[in-house]
Amino acid sequence: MTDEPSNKTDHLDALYRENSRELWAIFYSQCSDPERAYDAVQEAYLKYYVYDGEPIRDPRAWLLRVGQNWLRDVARRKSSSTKLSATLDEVANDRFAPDELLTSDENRETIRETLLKMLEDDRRVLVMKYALDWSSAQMAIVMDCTAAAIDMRLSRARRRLAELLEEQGYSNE
Amino acid sequence: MNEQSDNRRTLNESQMDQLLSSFYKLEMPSKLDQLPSSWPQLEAAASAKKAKTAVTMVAVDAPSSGSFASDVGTYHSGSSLGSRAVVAVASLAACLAVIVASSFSKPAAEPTIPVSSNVEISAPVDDVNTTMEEIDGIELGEQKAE
Repeated sequence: MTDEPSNKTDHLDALYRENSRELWAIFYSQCSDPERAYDAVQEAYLKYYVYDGEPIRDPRAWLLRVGQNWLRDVARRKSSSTKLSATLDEVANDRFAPDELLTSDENRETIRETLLKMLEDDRRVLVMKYALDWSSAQMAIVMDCTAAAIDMRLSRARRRLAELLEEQGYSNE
Repeated sequence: MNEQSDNRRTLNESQMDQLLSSFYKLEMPSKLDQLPSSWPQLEAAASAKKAKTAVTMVAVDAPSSGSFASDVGTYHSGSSLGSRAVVAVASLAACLAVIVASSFSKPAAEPTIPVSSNVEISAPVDDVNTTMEEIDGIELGEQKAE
């Protein structure tokens, strides 16, 4: 009897090790907010822990759905108070320097805002490639397409982001 | 990347690669590596669930915990009193609904056919048993002066 909670926690830990990074990446690609994406991951796992309904056949899909629903609810609640960051104007016309760009929180926020202007699938391949170090083949399985299509999408996403950043004043000049 | 003249300032592929690698590594929260077993929220969630389960059990048990009102043995349980009140309110509402419906569903008065006030009919006209003579004998009253 005393082993039951421990087993449950062990199972949760194992499930977390297996899926948490991917889930974070997917949630992040939806909201472009690292903290909120983490909260969604945590929320999903907490709900999984206390869930006692019908047996869950696919825990990853279940966690993904719970996290996405939570993100949607949060976005709905915050939609009225959401406004574009003033940093977009403040940093315009800055000259590009990758290291300097990322040392500033404001500049990172600018990149987040810029990412939100892109297609969600484009953001998703970017975060899988650069945050998870996934190969195109791995991404192709998750996104249900070919590796070549992933490569094409990645290239297009990088180009699109570069253009959007240039509009914000980040250039190579 | 730099084909067009107005795109000369756009970051090139390797710069974007470098930028995105650094950016996403900074974005990924370090606490993502903490396993759920170390989360304080996990214990809180479990406690909250236990409390919720306890409340549900109390709510389920509540109807059986009635009280005897007197030595005669009249038993009043909370749920039966509540259901009686609901029945009484529902009956009252049904009565009101019937009254309101009946007041609106009264048939309209039959339209009256205006009969010329100048003519007075003193014999049956449409009777199938009436003979032609009788029909001929129909007397029309005098025309009233207007």
